[in-house]
Amino acid sequence: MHTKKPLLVFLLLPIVFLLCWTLYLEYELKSEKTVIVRMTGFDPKDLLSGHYLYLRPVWTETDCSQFVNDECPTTLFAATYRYYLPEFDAKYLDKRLLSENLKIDMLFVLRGQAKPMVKDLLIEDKPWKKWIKQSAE
Amino acid sequence: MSIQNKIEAWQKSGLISAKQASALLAYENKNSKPYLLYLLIALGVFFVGAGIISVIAANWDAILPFYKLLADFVLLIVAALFTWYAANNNKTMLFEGGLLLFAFLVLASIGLIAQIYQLQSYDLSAFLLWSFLVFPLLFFTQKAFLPWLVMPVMWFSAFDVVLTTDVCENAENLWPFSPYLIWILMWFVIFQILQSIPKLKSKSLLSVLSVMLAIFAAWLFSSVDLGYAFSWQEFSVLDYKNSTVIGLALFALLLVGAAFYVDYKTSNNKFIPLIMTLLLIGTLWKVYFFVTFAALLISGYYAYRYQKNKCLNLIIFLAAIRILSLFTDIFGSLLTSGLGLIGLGILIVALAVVSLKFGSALNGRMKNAH
Repeated sequence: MHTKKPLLVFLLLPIVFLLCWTLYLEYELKSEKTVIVRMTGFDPKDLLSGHYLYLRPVWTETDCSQFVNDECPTTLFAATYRYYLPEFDAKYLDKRLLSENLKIDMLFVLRGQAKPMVKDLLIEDKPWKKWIKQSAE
Repeated sequence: MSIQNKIEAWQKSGLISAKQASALLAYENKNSKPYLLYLLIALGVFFVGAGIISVIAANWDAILPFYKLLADFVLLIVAALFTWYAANNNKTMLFEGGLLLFAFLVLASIGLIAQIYQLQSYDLSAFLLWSFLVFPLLFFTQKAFLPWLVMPVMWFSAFDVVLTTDVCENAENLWPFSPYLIWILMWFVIFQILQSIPKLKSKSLLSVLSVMLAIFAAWLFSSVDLGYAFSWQEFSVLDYKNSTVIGLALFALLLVGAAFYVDYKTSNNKFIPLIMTLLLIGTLWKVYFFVTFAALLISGYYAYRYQKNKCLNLIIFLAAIRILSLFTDIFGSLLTSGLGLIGLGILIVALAVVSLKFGSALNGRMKNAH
């Protein structure tokens, strides 16, 4: 049967790739080139789909001075974004976001001409975890 | 009727002797496949996996991302080592089960990383990545399940991703139908290359590819408007970015070269008739001149390189026809005059003579080299 090393190599190859990919993403997240983009719900009646919050950028309410030449690079960003949330927090957030007019922003990491990476979700200028914790207290 | 009953019946009717009957029975018992056992093992693996997932899922939100990733990579390494151990100790069923589990864990890992780092995906690129990562493992399995799972996923996800690229859009504008033709030709080449590997264990890999090719070809010819695809298109290659045109040209060069190479190495003629048909269509339907002429030049080079005399002669003939049709397009209105007709006649004779001499010279060089 298969006693050759190639089998071991091809079994380890996906693991090595995934590890390098994870380290690369971790490195990218540590970048200081971050921007904040104002967001709003994609579907005002149902922000949540499962564990995901569906949002879209609102460029008219975003501070474009964060970008080069004070111009918001709208083509660099996607038309919609989804943000994964733990189930319990998702349900809590769903109620609060729909009932109150909360300010939602997304923190992105700029990567030159590549698509910006989502770093965090901000609610009322605070990271969502911190905001939920403070709201619950 | 079971094989045992059949053997008994053959023995009773005198077709085989008692000694032959017992030898046949012994052989069948030795080589019979325990399908029920395979099913039970697969069911067991499934329930173990489902149980693990269920436990983790129930406590998922409480686990920090770092520990999720750590557990995931530990699982992957354990599954990989288990599979390798099973292979080295000739435990076929455990090896196949381990390979399947490992493939699913790779997919789950991609999903986990995408979830933790909030990666956005609007196409099937995650599935494409998965299929590329596990594709080499298909050469080690002897069962059908993994190839029949991975290859369709690779096919459709790659097609989905490629269709959205600028190169594909420009190719379609350059000549309608071209991305789909290139796609099917590329997979046909891959199929032939795989088929020419003598040590390829997975026959299922070839089976699934041949089925995918057949389905795609059927869909293509039933859904594409052939009239539009082969109509004269007025456009300029200069309208497109050089990188797109160069990229397409290099890809076509590679593809045609691979097709000729495979036919040369396997002493078959599977690709060459297809290439010749495409060139004939391109010439007769007057597909954009530079595209057709470039294709003829590339194919001519390979026909010369791999000593395909008849192909070379046909290509030279088609090139002459294509130049002639270009001439008639440019000077069409002049052909109604006497001078125009004389010019056309001289051109036809000149092309024929040049083609003959050129073809003879090339064929002569090919014979000498051979």
